Amino acid sequence: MKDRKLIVERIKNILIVVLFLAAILLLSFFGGNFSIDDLKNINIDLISDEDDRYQPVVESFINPDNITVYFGSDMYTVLSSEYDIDPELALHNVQETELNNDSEEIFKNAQEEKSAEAFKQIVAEEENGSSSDDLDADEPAGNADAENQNKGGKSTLYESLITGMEIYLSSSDVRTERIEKIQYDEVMSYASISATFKYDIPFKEFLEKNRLTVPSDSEMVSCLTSIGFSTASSENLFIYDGSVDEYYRFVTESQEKSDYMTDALMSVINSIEQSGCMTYYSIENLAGVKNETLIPLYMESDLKSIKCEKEFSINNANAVRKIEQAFFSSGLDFVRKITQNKGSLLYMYGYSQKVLFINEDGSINYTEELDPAQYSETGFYDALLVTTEYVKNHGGWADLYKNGMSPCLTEVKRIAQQGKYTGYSFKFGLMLNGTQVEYSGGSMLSVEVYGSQVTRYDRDIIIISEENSDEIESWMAENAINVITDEYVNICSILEAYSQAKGDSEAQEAYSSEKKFEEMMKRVNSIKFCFMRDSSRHANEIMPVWYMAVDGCRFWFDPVSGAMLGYSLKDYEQAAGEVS
Amino acid sequence: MFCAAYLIQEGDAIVKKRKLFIILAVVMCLLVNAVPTFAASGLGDDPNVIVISPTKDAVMKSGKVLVSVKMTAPKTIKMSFYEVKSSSAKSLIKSETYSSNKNLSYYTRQLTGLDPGVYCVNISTMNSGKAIYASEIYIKVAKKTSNTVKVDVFNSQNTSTSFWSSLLKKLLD
Repeated sequence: MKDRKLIVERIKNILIVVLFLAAILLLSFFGGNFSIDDLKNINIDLISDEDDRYQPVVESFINPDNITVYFGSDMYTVLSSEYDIDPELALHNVQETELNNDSEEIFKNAQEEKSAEAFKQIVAEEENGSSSDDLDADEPAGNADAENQNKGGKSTLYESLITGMEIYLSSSDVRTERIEKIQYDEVMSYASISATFKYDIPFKEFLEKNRLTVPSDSEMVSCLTSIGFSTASSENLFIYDGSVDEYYRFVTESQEKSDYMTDALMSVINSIEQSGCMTYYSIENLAGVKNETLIPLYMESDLKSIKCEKEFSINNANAVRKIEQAFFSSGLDFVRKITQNKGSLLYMYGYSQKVLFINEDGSINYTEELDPAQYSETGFYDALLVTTEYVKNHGGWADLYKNGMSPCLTEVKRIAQQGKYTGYSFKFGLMLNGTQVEYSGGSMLSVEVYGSQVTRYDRDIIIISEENSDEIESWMAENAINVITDEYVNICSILEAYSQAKGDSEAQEAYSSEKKFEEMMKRVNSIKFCFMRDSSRHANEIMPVWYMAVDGCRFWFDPVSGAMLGYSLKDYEQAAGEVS
Repeated sequence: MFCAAYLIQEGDAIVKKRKLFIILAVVMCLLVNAVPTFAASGLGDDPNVIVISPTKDAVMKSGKVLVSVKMTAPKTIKMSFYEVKSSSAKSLIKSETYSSNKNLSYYTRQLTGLDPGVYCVNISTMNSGKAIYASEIYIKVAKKTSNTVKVDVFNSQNTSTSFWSSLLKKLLD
């Protein structure tokens, strides 16, 4: 009896202690400066520590803006660089002696070669940067970028074109020649394929990075902007250098290679034609105005307006602290911090040696004075590597790969300071499930780099806040050509005022003449269907639009009604117009 | 003197008759050229309706034809696409009406799956259900061959000559 009472008392004592501790915890939770948001932020910090280490491979950004396939009879289609083709149609590199063997044997050897290469990459990655010759030693661990690997038997058209390049470049008799534009236009007016980049890539670096042979006489080719293959002239590989507006061909005398390329190209082109891709025609064929810019004949779409959110809120103390630590890793002791009227934060180190703006709209602008002591000239790819690493450490890349989004390189320019220091300016855009997202002003990510130093960094990231997994019924957009005819008077009056402001009297006269429609159509640079983030109207939404670039100015239209929604004038990016 | 005057008079008459004959011949030529147009449709071209594509006597090699019509006034047009059999008999493949109330608009339509042969595109301007203008264009759809065309624009010394000769070759193919 006595023992039983003792046990009961002990149990009571334990219960009291437990309840006491629970009470203390609850009190500190509710009574202290502790909120659910703090818990949320802690969780995010824990997760994002993993994501912050992600750095995409530099080569994953070097993709053509589009691949144009010409079928003949004035019909084109325009494909993305990720367009998949049947692996059996994919071009594969064959040696000249093998072309006489059985084609199945050749295909089997090529597949085995691909598999061996893929296996080597996987092993090297598992060993975390081994000395395998196939891996760039600077590649960070944990890189899960699958774009450069074999995707379960699929092959992209762009990969095939790269292989096609090697077929010519590795020929023992290959020679390089400069050609005229008229010759290039003539051969490409037959069934042909061309891949065009939005920027100029140093030619030798491009070949080396893609493990292609560098012909001994290829020094005359400075940069690569477009790669072309023609079935009517299949002994040639065509390269366009946009930096100097010159055309080149790499020619092989091998009849076997020429015949192989003719057959392979025709097979790919026929297969694409039969797949039912969207048909494009030139403005000349559709509107009777001389302009080779391509327009889709019809546009059936399943795109819808999508809500998005800023990458961070300026009211989020933890997020702001992270940004401060990223840019001023040694602390804020010598940094002046000013809170401006609208709540944006300005940080200045020294005499504007480093200036950071954290804006109230969730964007970041950073500038840093160039330090000549640490300057050394770097190439295109090395500069891009510095850029990707910098972004990894200042905001990260992870947010740009969520919910179907992926970043893309949209512009590259050579820049210079003080006449002797040269660098690169890289601008990045956003793709959502393969569709470009245009910004009405500025760009999503912009970096200026000199050697190993980043001197300017602008970041304005939007995150798609929901999985776009709902099934949307396809709908027909208004024809692009009739969208333009509906609004051409409005467009021309805007361009006339813009030309007047620039002092371009010839353009001003053209846009005010009786033939203003034809004059405007002659100057159209591009027409496409894409997403638009119009920061002046709906900063937290992206919507499908018809998008047109004329004379460097950009216009976007409602895809159903055809009404103009906004415009942005070149060199006057802040003067974007809102159309009521 | 009397003979000379007579001869001069005769000469004048012959010159007048020659002039009359030349004028008559020119008028006959113009009439003869105009007959097929009138015989085909009996209607003239609408100045506010311009057929951008296809062009007259175009040859398509892919079994697809783009019809693009520019209208520079509010109009209702009817596009009729015929296959031309032998002895000018036509069989209707597709017919479509398009209306626009704008001063500038385009009608575009791509026809696909066409067999090799001769086709006719008729664009008529309609008014209260009746055609008041019409344009007809004949085109050819050729069989798509597996043989690829080869051009050589690089080996000739004279670049422009080789370009024009290859262009001519392409048109004749």
